[in-house]
Amino acid sequence: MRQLIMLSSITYAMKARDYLMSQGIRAHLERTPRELGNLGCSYSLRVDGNKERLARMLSDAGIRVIGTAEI
Amino acid sequence: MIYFDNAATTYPKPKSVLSAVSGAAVYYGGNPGRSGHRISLKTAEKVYEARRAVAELLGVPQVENVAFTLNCTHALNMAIKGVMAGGGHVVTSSLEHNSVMRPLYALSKSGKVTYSIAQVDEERPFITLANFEKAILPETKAIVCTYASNVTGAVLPIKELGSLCKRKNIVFIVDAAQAAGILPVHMEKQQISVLCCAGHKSLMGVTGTGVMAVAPDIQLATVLEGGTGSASADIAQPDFLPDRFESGTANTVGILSLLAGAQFLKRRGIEEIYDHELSLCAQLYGDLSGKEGIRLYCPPIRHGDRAPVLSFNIEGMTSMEAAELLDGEGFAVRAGLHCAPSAHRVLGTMETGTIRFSPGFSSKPAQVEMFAQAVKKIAKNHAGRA
Repeated sequence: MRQLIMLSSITYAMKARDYLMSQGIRAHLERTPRELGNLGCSYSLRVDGNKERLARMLSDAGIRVIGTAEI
Repeated sequence: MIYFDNAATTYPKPKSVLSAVSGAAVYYGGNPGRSGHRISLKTAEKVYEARRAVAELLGVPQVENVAFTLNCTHALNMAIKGVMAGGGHVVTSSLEHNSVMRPLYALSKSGKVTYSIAQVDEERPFITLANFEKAILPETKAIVCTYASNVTGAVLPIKELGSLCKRKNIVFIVDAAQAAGILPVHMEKQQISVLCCAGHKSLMGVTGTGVMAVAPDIQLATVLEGGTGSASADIAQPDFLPDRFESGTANTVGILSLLAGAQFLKRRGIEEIYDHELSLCAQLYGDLSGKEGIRLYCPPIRHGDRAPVLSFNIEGMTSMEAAELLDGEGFAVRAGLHCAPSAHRVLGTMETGTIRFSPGFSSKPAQVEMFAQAVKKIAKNHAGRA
C-alpha cells in the first residue's frame, strides 16, 4: 500500500518534500493517481509512516495539503 | 563593438549563464509541472531550484511567492492591474518608465483608477518621501514606483517608502528593473508588497525572463488565466502561488538562465559588481564633466545613491545623431527617451532625448577611456552647431 500526501502543485510538493527531508523524513514525489485527484492534476508525496501526522506537520509549516490517501 | 547598453539588457552574459542555456535546451526539455515522467520531473526540479535561488537573492520569504514572468513589464502589468482591479488611487513618481505609466494611464482611461505623481528630488530623498506622503489620499490603494531611474540612475528611498506604505496600510509595488542584481533589493526588509524585476538585466538571465514576487498577505486579481498543470478540473484560476500567475508553458530555458545568473551573482558578489560599474560611471563623469559641448544630467557620482547609468548629450545634435556617430566609432549605447518620457520631462530633454551609458560587469576602464575620447572628438567636430 502506498501512503500519499496530496499537494496542489509541483512547487508545493517540492517544498513539502524538502521540509520533510529537513525533519529527517524521506518522501518521494510523484504525480497524483488519476482516481484520487478530484480537482484534476496534482502531485503527491509518497511517505512511510503516518500520513495524517505528516500532513499535519506540513500544514503547521504553512504548506497547503489537499488530502491524504492510501492506495 | 564595445557594449555600454547594459541598462537595456546585459551583454555579454556570464559564461555560466550561456552554458546553462545550452544545457537547458538539451537536458531539461520536459514541460515542468505537467507530467509525471522523469523528464518532466527533472525539469521541474531545476525550475524549483531556480525559484529558490531567486527567492533567496531577493529576500522573498517563501519560495512559492516567486512567479516567473516574460519580463518586468509583464510583471508590472500583472501587479498594477491585479492590485487595482477594484479601482482606487495610486501614487507614482516623476521618473517612471512606461511599463508603469502606460498601465496606470490605461486604467485611468477606463475610469476605474486615478493617479498622482510625486516629484523625485534626486539629491534630497527626504523631500521625495515627503512628496509621496503628501500625495496619499483616503482612497489611495497603492504606491507604485521605480527603485532606480533607467535614465538618470537616481535611486528612490525604497526602505522609507516601504515603511510609509506599511504605516498607511497601502500596497507597495516596486519596479526593480534597474536594481535587482546590482543594488540591495530585499523584499521583506524593504517591506515591498509586490516586487517586479527584469530577468535579463543585472540578474544576468536571457531576454524573455522576469520575476514578480508577491508578499504572502497580498491578494492580486489575475490578468491572465489558463493552464497551470494544477487543479485542472477546476475552471477557476488557482488561488495558490505561483501557479495563479504562471499560466501556460514556462520559459524553462530562460528560467534556468536565471538560476545560473543568481549563482553567478552569489559567487561574484552584487556589491563588487556594483562598485565596479559605478566606478566606470564615475570615471566617465570625470572625463566628460566640464568639457565644452557636453552636458551631463546628474550630480557627481556617489556610491549608493544611484544605479550605474549616466545620461548625457552632445550639444548641437540630438541624442540619436550622437549615438549613430558613436556606433560608427564602435560603441553601443542607447539614445532617445528610453521608454521613460516622464524622466525626460523632468530633465527638459523631451526634444533631444539623452545618450545613456550603462556599463556591465565585464566592461573595462580602458574601454571607458576610449569611449570618453570618442565623445569628446564628436563634440569637438560638431562645435558651433549648437
